[in-house]
Amino acid sequence: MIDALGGEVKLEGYLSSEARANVGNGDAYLNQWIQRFELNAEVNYQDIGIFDTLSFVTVIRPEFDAAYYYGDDIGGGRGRNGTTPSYMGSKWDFNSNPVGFGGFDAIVGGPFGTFNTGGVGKLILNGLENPSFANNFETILNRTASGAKYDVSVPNGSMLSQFSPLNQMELNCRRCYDLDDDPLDVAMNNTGSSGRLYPFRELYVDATAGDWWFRIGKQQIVWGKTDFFRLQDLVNPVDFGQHFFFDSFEDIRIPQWIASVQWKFGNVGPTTDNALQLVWNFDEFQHVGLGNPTAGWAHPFSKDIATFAAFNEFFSVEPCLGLNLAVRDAAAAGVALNPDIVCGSRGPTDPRKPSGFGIPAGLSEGDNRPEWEIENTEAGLRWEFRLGEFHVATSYYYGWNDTPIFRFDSVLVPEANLAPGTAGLLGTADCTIAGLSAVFALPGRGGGACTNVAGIPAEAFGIPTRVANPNQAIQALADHGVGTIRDQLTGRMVNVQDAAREAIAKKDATILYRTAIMNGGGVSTNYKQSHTPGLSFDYFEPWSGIVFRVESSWTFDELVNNTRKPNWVDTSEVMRWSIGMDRPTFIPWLNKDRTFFLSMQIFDTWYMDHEGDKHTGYFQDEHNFITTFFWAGNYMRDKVKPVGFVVWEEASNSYVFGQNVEWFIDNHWSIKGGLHMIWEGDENYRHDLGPYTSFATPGANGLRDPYNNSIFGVGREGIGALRNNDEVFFQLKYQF
Amino acid sequence: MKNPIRYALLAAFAAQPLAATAFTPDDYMAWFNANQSAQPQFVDGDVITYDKADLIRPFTPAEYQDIQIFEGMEVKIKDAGDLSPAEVYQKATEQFAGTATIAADGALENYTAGRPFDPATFKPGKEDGQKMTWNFNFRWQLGGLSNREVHWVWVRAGGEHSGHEIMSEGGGKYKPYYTGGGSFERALAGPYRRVMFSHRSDLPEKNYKVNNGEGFAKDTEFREYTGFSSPFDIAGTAFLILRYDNPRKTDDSWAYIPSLRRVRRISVEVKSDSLLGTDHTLEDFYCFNGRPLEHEWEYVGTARQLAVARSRNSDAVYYGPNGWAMLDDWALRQVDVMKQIPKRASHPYSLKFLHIDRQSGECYHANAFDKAGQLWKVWQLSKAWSEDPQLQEQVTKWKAEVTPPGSRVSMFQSINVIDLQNNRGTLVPCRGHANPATDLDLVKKLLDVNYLTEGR
Repeated sequence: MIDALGGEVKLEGYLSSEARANVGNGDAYLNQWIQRFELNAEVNYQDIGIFDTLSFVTVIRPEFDAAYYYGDDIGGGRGRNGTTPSYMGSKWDFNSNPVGFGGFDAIVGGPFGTFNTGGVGKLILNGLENPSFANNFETILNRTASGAKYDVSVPNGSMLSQFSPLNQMELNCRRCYDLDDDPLDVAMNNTGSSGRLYPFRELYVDATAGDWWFRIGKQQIVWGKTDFFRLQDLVNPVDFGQHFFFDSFEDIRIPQWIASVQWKFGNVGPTTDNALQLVWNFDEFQHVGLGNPTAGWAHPFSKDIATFAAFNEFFSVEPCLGLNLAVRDAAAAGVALNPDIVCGSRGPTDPRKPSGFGIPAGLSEGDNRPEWEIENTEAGLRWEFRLGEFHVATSYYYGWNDTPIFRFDSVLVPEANLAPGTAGLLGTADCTIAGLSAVFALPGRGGGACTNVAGIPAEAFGIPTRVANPNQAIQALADHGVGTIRDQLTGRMVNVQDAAREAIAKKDATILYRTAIMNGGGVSTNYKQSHTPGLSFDYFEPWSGIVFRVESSWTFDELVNNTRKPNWVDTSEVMRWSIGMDRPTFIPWLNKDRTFFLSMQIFDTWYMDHEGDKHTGYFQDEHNFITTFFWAGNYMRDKVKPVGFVVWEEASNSYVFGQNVEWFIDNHWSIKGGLHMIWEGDENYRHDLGPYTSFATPGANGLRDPYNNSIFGVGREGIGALRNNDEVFFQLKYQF
Repeated sequence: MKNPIRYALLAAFAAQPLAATAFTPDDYMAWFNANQSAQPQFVDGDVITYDKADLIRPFTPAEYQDIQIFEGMEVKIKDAGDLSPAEVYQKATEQFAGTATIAADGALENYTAGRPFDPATFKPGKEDGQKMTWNFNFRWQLGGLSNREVHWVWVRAGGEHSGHEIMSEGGGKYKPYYTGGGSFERALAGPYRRVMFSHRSDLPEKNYKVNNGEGFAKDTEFREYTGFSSPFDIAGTAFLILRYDNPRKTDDSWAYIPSLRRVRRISVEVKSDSLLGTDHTLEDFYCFNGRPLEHEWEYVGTARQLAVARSRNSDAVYYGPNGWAMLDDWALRQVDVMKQIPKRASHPYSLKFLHIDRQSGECYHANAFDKAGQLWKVWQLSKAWSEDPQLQEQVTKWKAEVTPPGSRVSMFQSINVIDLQNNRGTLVPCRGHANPATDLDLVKKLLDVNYLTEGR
């Protein structure tokens, strides 16, 4: 603290270097090596105008992940130019990801190259990419039957493995962030989740006047009483893509532009120490951070999003042929080459790719996060007081659910399953193009099926398809469906119309979707504003020496995913509650001088409108219990601090264990080392494929398992989804 | 010098061999008993050096002698004079004499203000031990202690500390205070504030309570804030303790944890735990800062002790081979000795002796024994007198609040604890100290639990 700028200036911060090595993915490698500088600067004034105190505060935190940026050299071939699978993946090829790599080759049971187009591998087949292009992806969502580890050498049954990029590439995802970041920005953690104004994490003005406290600017507002989880603590989203939940929320909370006013009004009736805080989060909405999909600790949902963005990038586009194949096929068929089907023939901005199917696929609608508008800002209030032995905080927050929810904006219905003459009643006409070849232009060779769709050439081998709203699609099949189709769950043949009607009657779209009748669809990620009141209190029980912490919140009509809904979207009342118990405890045989801080917490997220079972409906259980146990000790006058925790998620029966020891060598230097271990739970990795059931490979019984490694499979796995990212880490820090 | 042969004999009794691992409460009592018949062989103005060290042994608790006595020592004997509390306190003592009572559970009842009991009537034993602790609890403090900046310096015996950053910080402004040896391991810094709300002798017109005991002051004996501003890893950490006026009611305690950015309710166990790695606990402040009913008390008797009762310095000056002795004036004071025995089995101490100035009511010395009955820690507290001119430096140099003239309060200059089992200590000089009058509007801002969240 020095006197300067007419006030008191305080500068403090740290420099740190932290290396995190993955030891859970078969081969140990440097996953992250983060160099971080943090400067906390403030200028404080006394008695300025109406204010008793006035402060200008900033927290600046640039950082650089050397393992990411130079990952091809020092990160075991991962990171910016990575070509080696991450903790979630395995080598990407036609064997591990038949549909993603080979498209309809796999669906018709043929070898790679059966069709010229469809599937990302066709970029290579058509000569638009080198064979090494395949190294840019990894196969994910490809558990073995035991769910134990990704390994394509282990035979598994019916599956829908998918692919995710391993390094930075432009993916077509409208308004998505944390996706198409510049590699240097990912290395510097300057992603969408860093908020705006990087490297300024916080920048605010703080003032007090009597019983009033004001703060405006980019900041963190912390409500609630629980550790690790957020119930009332809703004002700022958290970036779980940096390092899961292992770093302090202080470091991973995403600062927002917020105005805050607190009024302390003393005693009212039986209550004392009353304070009322009003906050207005006027920042542009920001969802929880999931990490760039290529980052070392990218959350599985980030890879899910990248997968769907890659679908949109590579599958949604119309197909085209490389000149080599186009000429070859034309010559073989003895027909004149249609130059329009050649990639790039429509000019330098020709969007077509040999990988395309020409239908909406993946995140075709992008991220529907709200634009900045005054009505999209968030606000809340908290009233904190003491009542007898209880320290109570009530809160109310009106804001956006900050976890992305997948929604099917469209599904693809084969016209063949609609009665003649009725297809036109549903959605818009399109064509699922299985392959493109001059051969198909010949009469009787499969082409021409989609020529009623504008722009589809005769060279396309396609499936006439209606792109339709999911609800309308099911209704149309109930009204006009024809033919029979196999229920992929039971193996029985069912009447399309009956299946659709049963789905409507039972309000369970999976009854129809599990017949694999749909050819996928286009999705978007969505959010919704909700009201969330909360209540928490703590109480010290003198006899036991335990501090009890109770926190709860109730969110009205929270947006949730429910695969029984045609578009997978539902709302539910969600009650979250937790009970925590803290006790500093002397354990003399371990340390006679100092207590160990022991803390146990039980959480429940209760979806009150829950529906579904282990594989359909909500991917969460009705009650989702998580138990945490935390301990912290101090030795050598608090210079050596061992800290550890265990988290158990009941629904997935998965565990996380962490233990670290930090040694404060002096007032400046410290070193820390530790490990984080994650255990998968019981068979819990499969969930509903919905409209994508048709893309699962048939199992030994010839059926496409509708409950599969899927986007919500990792949801069901919960914390166990990151099972192969076990790590040891070491940090060197200089604070000033 | 008077009668050197006699003092040598007494010193032989008083100078108990101090091997920390072998020093028991019995050894302490041996010194105490020897002290009863000791007669000082020094006079005001004497400077006791190492060759005359035996002169002070009878009046230096045995467990502190190895700290106080070393080659190069300079113990200047200086009478502290009259340290009687302010007239308002004496008047309240007189007015309410005989009204306070001790309940069966040891709680103080029917107490209004002033010194609850007359220590001249105390006899060794538990009954007067309880009275003694309430006397100490309600000693004259005016509105309570305010410290702009408290240093918590972790010192270890041996070595030196000239290279430690604290010696060069602020252009070397702290250097004159940390003379001598001892290696400094770590230094914490932060403010401290305590405000007394009840039994305020200076507020007879308000029923002896701040704000008539209404609003923020309701049912409150005191609120206490202990903050830390450096180093960076603990900067922003703060503790708030609310002591209820009802002696049977457990404290409410909160901590602001910067890494969580929220206030955490803390358990009573924390109060007897090492404070952020120092050798102090929150309960050790002032010698004892806990709830009397959580301990058993015994009155041991009176002794005469050399103490820094009226520092000649504006700020504490350390010296000696380990840098943990006090270079100051030492006054021979009559002290009441009481024994604290924690009731809680998990408490780290088995017992503790406290030395309380008969006149001012302040504590100068304490020791604590571990569960095995071995001496563990020794505290030495230096006091400054509010009426001394050098106290003005606290305002001009350290931006202390203003202590009203005529307050006649024995002020807190430093509290230093030596862990004899581990050969280390924590020096806690308090800079910018004051015992200001209570401005309720100001203290409400600092001592409201919601204030903690106003930290970063």
